[in-house]
Amino acid sequence: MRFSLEYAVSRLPLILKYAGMSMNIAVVSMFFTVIFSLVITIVRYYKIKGFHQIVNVYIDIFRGTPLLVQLFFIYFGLPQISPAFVSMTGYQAAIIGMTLNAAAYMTEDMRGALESVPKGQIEAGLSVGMTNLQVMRHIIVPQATRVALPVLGNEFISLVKNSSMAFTIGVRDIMAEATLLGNSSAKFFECYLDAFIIYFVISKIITIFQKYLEKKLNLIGGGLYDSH
Amino acid sequence: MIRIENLSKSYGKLPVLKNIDLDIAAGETVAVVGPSGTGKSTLLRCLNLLETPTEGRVTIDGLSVDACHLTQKEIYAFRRKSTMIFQDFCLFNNKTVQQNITLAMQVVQKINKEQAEGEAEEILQQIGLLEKRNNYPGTLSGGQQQRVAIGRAMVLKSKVMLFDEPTSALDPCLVGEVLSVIKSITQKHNTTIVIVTHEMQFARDVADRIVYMDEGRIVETASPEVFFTNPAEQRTREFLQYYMN
Repeated sequence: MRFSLEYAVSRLPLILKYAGMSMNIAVVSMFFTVIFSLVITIVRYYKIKGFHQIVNVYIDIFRGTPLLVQLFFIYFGLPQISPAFVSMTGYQAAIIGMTLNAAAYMTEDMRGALESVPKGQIEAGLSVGMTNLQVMRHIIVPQATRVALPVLGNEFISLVKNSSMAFTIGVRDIMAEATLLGNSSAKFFECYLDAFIIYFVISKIITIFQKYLEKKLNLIGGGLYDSH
Repeated sequence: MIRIENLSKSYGKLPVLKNIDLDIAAGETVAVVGPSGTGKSTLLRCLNLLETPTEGRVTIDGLSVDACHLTQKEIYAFRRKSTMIFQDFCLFNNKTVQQNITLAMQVVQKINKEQAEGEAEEILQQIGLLEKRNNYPGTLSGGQQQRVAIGRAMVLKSKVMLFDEPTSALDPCLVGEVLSVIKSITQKHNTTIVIVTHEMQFARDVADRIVYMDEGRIVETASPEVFFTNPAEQRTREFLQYYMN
C-alpha cells in the first residue's frame, strides 16, 4: 500500500485553510438564495400576472440542467455575449450560478411550507376580521417557517457540497487546493481524502446544529405537531 | 339585524343556493337544519363573505353588501360585523389558547396587550379553560378546542355569531360541553346567532326559530314548537321522521 497517513495529516491544515472560501460561497449563496426564493415564492403564491409565467420558465430551465453547465455558461459564455460580464470574477459567477440554481429548488420547498398551513386557519383569521396580510404575518409565516427550516438546512448542506464545483471556474476553495496539492505531489489519494473529510465534517456539524434548532423550535411551539 | 335578499350562489354551473330571503331580528337565535349538502354551510359562509355570493344582497347591522360589486375594503368591513365558529375549530396552531383569543383584539381592534389579556381571562373563565391558557391547541381535546374557538369569537363582542356545525367533528361524549357554552351565549339575548346544526334536540332547546333548508332553498321557517310537532311541509316531515329516530 502506497498510502501515507503522515502526508494526509500534514496536508489537512493546508487544505482546511480554504474551507473559509468554500463556506463563504455557501453562506453568501444561501443568503441570496433565501431572499430570491422568497420573492419568487410570493410571485407564485399570489400568481402575480406576467411575472408568474416568467418565474415558472426560469425554474424549469434551472431544474432541468446541471449546475456545472450553468456555471460554465455564466462564467465562460456570458462574457462573450456582452462586455458587461467580462470583468466578472469566478467567485461572482459561482455566487450567481449557485443562487439561481438553489433558488429554483428552494422556492418549491417554501411553497410547500406555505401551503402546509391548513386553509381553515386562514379562514379563521379572516373571520375574526384580519386582513390577508395580517393572516400571512401572524398565522401563515410563523407556521410555514417552522416547516421550512429543516428543509432550508438541507439546502444549505447542498450548497456547501455544490460549492466544490466553483473550483472549475477558478475559485480557490477546498477542492481547488486539494487538486493543486495532488497535482504537485501525485498523492491524489491523500489530498482528496482530506477534502473528503473536511466536507463530511462540515456537513455533520450543520446537521447537528439543524437538529438542535428543530428541537428547540418544537419546545417553544409546544405540541404544534401533536395530533390527538 | 341580518337581512338576506335574493341570495344565490353557484360553483361554476352548479347552483348551491337559490334565491334565499331571510330576516333575522337582533338577539334572535336561528337554527338552520336540513340534509347534508343542501347549502346550509354555504349560506353561513356567505354571511361573512368567506364565500362570495353570485347574486343578491346581505345586510348585517346596517351595513349592506351587494354580491355583484364587492371591493376588498367592503369585504373586510363586512366581516367585522360577525364572527364565525367552524366545524373543525381552526385554532391558530402557532398560538397558545390565550393568544388565540387575544390576537384579533390586538391586531384588528388595536386593543393594548394588558387590556386584551384581561378580557381574555374573563372569557377563559366563562369557557372553563383558564388553567389551559398557556397550552397550545395541539394538546387540547376537540371539545376544549372548540370552546377556545368560541371564546376567540366571543371576545370580539360582535353582534352576530355564526356557528357552522360546531359539534359535528366532536366525539359524542364531548358534544355536551360545547353545547352548554353555546347555550350560555344564547341565554344572554344580546347576540344574534345563526347556527347550522344536526343536533335537533339542541336546536329545539335554544332556537327562537328553525329554518329548514333543502336543495339550496329555504323550505320552511317556523318556531321550534311548530317545527317539531306540526311542520307545514311534507319534505320537512320526512326529514324529521328520518332524523328524530
